[in-house]
Amino acid sequence: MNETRRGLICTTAAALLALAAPALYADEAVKVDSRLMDYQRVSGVSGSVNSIGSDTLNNLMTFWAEGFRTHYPSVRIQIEGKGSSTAPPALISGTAQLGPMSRPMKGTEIDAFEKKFGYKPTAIGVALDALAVYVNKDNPVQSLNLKQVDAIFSSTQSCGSENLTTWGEAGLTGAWAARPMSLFGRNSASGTYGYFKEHALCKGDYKPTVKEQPGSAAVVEGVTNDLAGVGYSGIGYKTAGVRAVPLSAIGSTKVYEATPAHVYAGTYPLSRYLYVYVNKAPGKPLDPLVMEFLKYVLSADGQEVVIKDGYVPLAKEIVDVELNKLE
Amino acid sequence: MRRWAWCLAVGVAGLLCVSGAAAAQSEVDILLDTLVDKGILTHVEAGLIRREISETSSARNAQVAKDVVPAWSRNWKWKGDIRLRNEYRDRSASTNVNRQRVRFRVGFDAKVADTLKATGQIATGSTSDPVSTNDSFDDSFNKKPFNLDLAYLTYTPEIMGIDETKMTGGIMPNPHVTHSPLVWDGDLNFDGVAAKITKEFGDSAVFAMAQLSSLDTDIHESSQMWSMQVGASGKLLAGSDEDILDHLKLEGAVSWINYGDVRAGGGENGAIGAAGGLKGNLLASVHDWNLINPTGAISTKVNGIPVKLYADWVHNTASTEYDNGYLFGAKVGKAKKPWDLKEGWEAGYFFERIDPNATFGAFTDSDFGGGGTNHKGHVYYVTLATLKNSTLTLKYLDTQQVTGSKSHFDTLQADWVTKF
Repeated sequence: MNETRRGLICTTAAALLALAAPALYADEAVKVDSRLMDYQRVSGVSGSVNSIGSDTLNNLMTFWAEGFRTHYPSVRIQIEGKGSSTAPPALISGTAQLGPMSRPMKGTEIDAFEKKFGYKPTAIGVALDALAVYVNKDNPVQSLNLKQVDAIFSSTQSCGSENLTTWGEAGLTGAWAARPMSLFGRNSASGTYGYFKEHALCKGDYKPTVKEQPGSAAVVEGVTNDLAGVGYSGIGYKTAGVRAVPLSAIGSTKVYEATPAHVYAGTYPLSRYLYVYVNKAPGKPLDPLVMEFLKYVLSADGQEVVIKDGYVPLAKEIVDVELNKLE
Repeated sequence: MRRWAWCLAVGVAGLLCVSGAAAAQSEVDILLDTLVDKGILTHVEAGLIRREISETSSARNAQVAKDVVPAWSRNWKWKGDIRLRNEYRDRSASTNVNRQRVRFRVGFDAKVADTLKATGQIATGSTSDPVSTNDSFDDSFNKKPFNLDLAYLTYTPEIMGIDETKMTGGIMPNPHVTHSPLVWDGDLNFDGVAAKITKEFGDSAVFAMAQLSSLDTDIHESSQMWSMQVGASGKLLAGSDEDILDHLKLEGAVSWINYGDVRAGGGENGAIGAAGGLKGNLLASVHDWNLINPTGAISTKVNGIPVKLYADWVHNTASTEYDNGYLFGAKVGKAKKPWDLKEGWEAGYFFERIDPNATFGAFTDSDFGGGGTNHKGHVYYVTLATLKNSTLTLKYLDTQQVTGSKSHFDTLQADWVTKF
């Protein structure tokens, strides 16, 4: 399509938009969509199921399993979370019926699955994850571009940035200008560490000066207690002692705050879906145990677990899309 | 009212994405952001549209990649490396030598079918030396020869109850699990067939391997070497809160290696001659090589740094004396990231004693004592990751003969290796 035709279409769209009445959509705190229903127990659900996949979803899967078993005490759910890469082979070999993954399946993984079964695997979005870059509540920095985030945290600056070590180099003045940044992050076993490395550091390496913390809450605590602190952690771990810095993507000047609204819209640069992959043949029903487990995950009860583990729950529109995939 | 806005947004966004260019994506973002700001779409609806566009775009790009890139090239992987070496040899029984050497290897892996792979590799070296791929800079810039170093097929059928079955035939890498060059030099490849099965039990695995290699054949006789190896490995404390225990891995294996029709008494036969001579073995007391070779290692991570202790022992049951060899060593670190304090270096040490008849001299470490058996001594090395895919290694081998003249043979090597 040439530029002229594209410009005409956008102009037409804008004109039509001018006729529409605006509605108010206020940012909301992280809470379960009130339109979601609690899970309703059904009969005929029994047996055992295996879950093999993401370490990021390990806690979620464990909490979901515990909650699910309050409805079905005789059901057994075995969970193994050694990494998203372990999910596709487990689903293909049949050793797992649930494949939690913190990323979409790669093309090669989908091909391998399709080669075995003749159809593609089904990805059920179960939660949203967003990483916030936190600074101390008294830090006046307005926003950061992901290139600056790379410059702050990375030793290799693979996003094409230049090293930033003081808050003055990030644009602050006065007493902040000479203040060196104090970096907080996660240890290398953490899925958060890996996701931040890939998406914020362009697969580069962390600076050796990043203080590795054992958990997401510890990162926030570290930044709270250090005026010059900056760290990354889940959006759900925000406290009054820190600010989540609005971020813009590389090459963009549009800044987005770390709010559920921007996570739902897909505009916040460090947000992603968390998935559970299943083997569902087209036109055939899922195993009842797997079906009901996923229905529990997508219910109000299941999404409460998402908030407790520091992630963003799904809105009803998203749940409806995911439930449709199960039919 | 919002349904028509949804359809319009998806349609316009879809049209804008026909070109597939990055510029089209930013225009989609502008359109969707405007629709959200105007209240036509909610944030959730805009996010679902972005997700639908992303999934459609990914699927289209994957199909385009498949259509554009030939299937045969998607199934081929090329690999190789270059090693530049400076080596100083301090020998009490001969003149000292300082020489510069090069090793160049290039090859491919080709996935012929789901369960069949073909591998080929050519390398520098000599056709009369099975344990070296080096060429020296000592012949007035004459061109260096290339040899067929690897040429084998690997068949991996799925067998119920077995996690991995591998059958290999041709000129193949060493099929034995080994932790040191006590019995097998690192450059030694095997001409023959091998089969290995592996069964996994959670974080543990057991395996069994058998191989048969032809050493020398003529119309009068055929010399061969066959072996069997069984072993196990496991992370018995995986999941422990302590990192050292969580990463603790034990590995053990034992081999029986049988050389057939390789007779040493009464002079060298074809097999020994073709392999470059006895290389330390004593004719008077060795008539055959029937080796038992246990090997083991313990590895873990300390503060994220790999640490490994290993040991090897070999005993030649067909010899009447000087029939043992052993090695024990340790290594720390893994040189992966250039100039990284934690992941940019590796250091190691081992002590080895290889008695004259402990193993077939032509196939053991070619650097230790100049190659062959009848040596004992210490080896120290340090490796630094210098550039991406490149390392620099300094290695010092301090050896002397076990029996006989007890002459010294010290070697200092500086190696630059680049892989591609």
